[in-house]
Amino acid sequence: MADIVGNTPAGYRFRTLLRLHFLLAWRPSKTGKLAENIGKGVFILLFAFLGLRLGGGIDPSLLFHLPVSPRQILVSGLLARMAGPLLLPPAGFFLGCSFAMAASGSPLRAVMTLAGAVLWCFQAFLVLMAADYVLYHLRRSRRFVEITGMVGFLLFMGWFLLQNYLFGSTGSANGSTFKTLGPQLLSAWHYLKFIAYLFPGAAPVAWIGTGWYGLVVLSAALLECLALLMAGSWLLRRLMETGAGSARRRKTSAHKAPGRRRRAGFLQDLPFWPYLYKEFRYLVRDTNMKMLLLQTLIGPFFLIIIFSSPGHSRFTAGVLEVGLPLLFLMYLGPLAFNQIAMERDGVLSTVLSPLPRWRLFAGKNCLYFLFYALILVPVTVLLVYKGIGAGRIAADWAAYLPLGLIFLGAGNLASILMPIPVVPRGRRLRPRLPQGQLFLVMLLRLALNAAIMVVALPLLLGRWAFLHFGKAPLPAAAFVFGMVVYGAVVYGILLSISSRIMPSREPKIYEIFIREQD
Amino acid sequence: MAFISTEAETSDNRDELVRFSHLTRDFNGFRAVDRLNLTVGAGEFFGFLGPNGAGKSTTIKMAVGLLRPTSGSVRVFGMDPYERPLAVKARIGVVPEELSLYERLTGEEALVFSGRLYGLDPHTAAGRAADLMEWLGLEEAGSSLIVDYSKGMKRKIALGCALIHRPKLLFLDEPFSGIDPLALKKIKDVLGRMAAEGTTIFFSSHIMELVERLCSRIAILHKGRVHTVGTLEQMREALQLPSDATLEDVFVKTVGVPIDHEEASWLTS
Repeated sequence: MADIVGNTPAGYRFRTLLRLHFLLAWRPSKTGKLAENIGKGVFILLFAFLGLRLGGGIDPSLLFHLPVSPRQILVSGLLARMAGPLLLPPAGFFLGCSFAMAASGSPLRAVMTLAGAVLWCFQAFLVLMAADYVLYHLRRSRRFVEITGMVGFLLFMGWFLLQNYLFGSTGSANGSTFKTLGPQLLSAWHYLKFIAYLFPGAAPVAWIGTGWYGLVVLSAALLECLALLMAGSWLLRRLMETGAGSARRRKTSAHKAPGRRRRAGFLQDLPFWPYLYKEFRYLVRDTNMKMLLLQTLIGPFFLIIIFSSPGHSRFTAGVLEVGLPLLFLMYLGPLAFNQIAMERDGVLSTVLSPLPRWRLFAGKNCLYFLFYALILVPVTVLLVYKGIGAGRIAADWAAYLPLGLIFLGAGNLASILMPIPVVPRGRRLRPRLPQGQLFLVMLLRLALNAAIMVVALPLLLGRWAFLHFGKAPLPAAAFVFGMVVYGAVVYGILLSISSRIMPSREPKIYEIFIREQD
Repeated sequence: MAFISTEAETSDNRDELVRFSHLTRDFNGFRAVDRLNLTVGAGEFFGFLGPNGAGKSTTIKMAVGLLRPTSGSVRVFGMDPYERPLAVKARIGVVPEELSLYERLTGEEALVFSGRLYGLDPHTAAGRAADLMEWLGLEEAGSSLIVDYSKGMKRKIALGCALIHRPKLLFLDEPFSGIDPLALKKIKDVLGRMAAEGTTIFFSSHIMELVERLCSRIAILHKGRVHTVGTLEQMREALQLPSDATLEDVFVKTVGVPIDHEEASWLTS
């Protein structure tokens, strides 16, 4: 776990990214660093799984049908959150910090950190609960809460970046990126931090390392908790009293919406448009899918920040150029291999329709392919930043885009033959197979991945040939053309096979889904 | 059993649209459908009755290409739904017993999507979807996701999806459960008119009054076999029931379930 940070520039940035300046403004020993890293590792892993599941946890039936008081709801909600999995990321982080402090010879500070952690979690959950009530009060719409959750997540990540990257103790290391802005911001932070320490979120932990001023900060933290408790209770009471009014408002606003007509653009005439559109709506409306999309789109930008230090240019560029596109195929994997499994909701609409089956796959593939191409864009930006030439980047795209296409084609086939969801995330894709069977399916998919890489070998050879023999424009164009045609032909063959075998497999697929429901 | 009609007696001399011949389906040793023989002609409003577990839904699933028969054959429009699945599916509409809708679409989007799957152009699909939303009384819920709909609203959308391409043959498996009386009346009227204009409707339900009122011919299934098939009058005659006997009387006599007033007497004592 210690390797997460290490001493590389990338690791240094990553560590800085997660550093709470006011909490960790001390120099830990080697053992302390290890403990700190463990805490951060736990935080990273758990936050990745749980981070976006914040908010929206309100149960309306509890408000209107149970004979309970607002205070009881507030306390039980708070206890449930404190005992729930959402507690794990901050707990992991603070425990890591506490161990690190103990190992660095600061036992008092370690104990204070634990106390600060309890206060921080208490306040954070109170904020979340109050936010839930406000959101629910504003508009009873799941979509609204989801969108707000996403915006909140983005703001949180932004706060992380600002607080640690710009104002961190290692801020001077970022001078190359923020030549003029950096010192000014650091200077501003120096004068304003005593006010910033009083804010919710900072106050519960800032008192640990701020000397006598800590008492003021601690008082602020306790007052904030009290205010949140009172606000939560008031909001809840108001929500219980005006619940019916909110419901009426919602009905009225829904009334305005129907009757809208969208003009039929040329895209709608595409033979595979229905599934492309349906899949797009699903992607943007499914929280888990949105999470995947967000991670995929934001992830590379974080990598850009992490790898943006000078010095390791050649090595990191090489790793990024080959490693990242292959890494992104892993994002494509769950979508490609679960294409039929993800149709479970409306499987009858699909299997009872007379639509030629290639259109089903082409529609879904088109969207996922665009998604894949989109996540390659940040990598390209990074490669340009690293000074990689346009020709080389063209070779990369000519290799990696057809590779994605082949991956999708093979995914179609695999999802027909194994319509079992094996991605352990999200309600729609949760596997309901015995562990042994699931393991076998995963092994088969791994074997399939290996087979895909064998089929894709000519693309990688083409890229290699381009880099070595494609200096002149004509041979370069020929290599690119060859790679694109190869990818398209292989995809076409796989699509044709999938389209042919799908109708005969449909009764079996339907039976599998029905049994799963039982 | 009391009365098993022959094809000549019951097919009304109209074109056969559906034909089951010795249709059998086994599930792990359990015979759900047992050598079923039945034909349904064009323009018929055909009632398909039976107690729970009689094999009605299994029969419909075999007719629409969702389940392969263990033996025997199905012909729909003279075609085997497993040999020419897309050709058969293009001509039929199905409201299945289990709802299966893309719940992250809005009601209107689901209807348009369904229309497009059946080959309607975007403009026609959108127009028909809007009409159906209004007809089904769902115009206010047009922009809500199906996942937020009630069961009855979902049934309405399923019905809309089955109707949007104007199929020549409709399979309805318990289509009206949870649908409000106002919408039900509208739907019954339209289905009646569709049948009068030549659409064949294969209708499975437990609501006897509805079947009695709507269907021109009825089959009663029990333990996977057709026990009775014909018009209500034919059934009354065959079972020697009075002329005012209801379909419920016919059903009870056909299936032969004794009514025991002593059962669960604690409920009424």
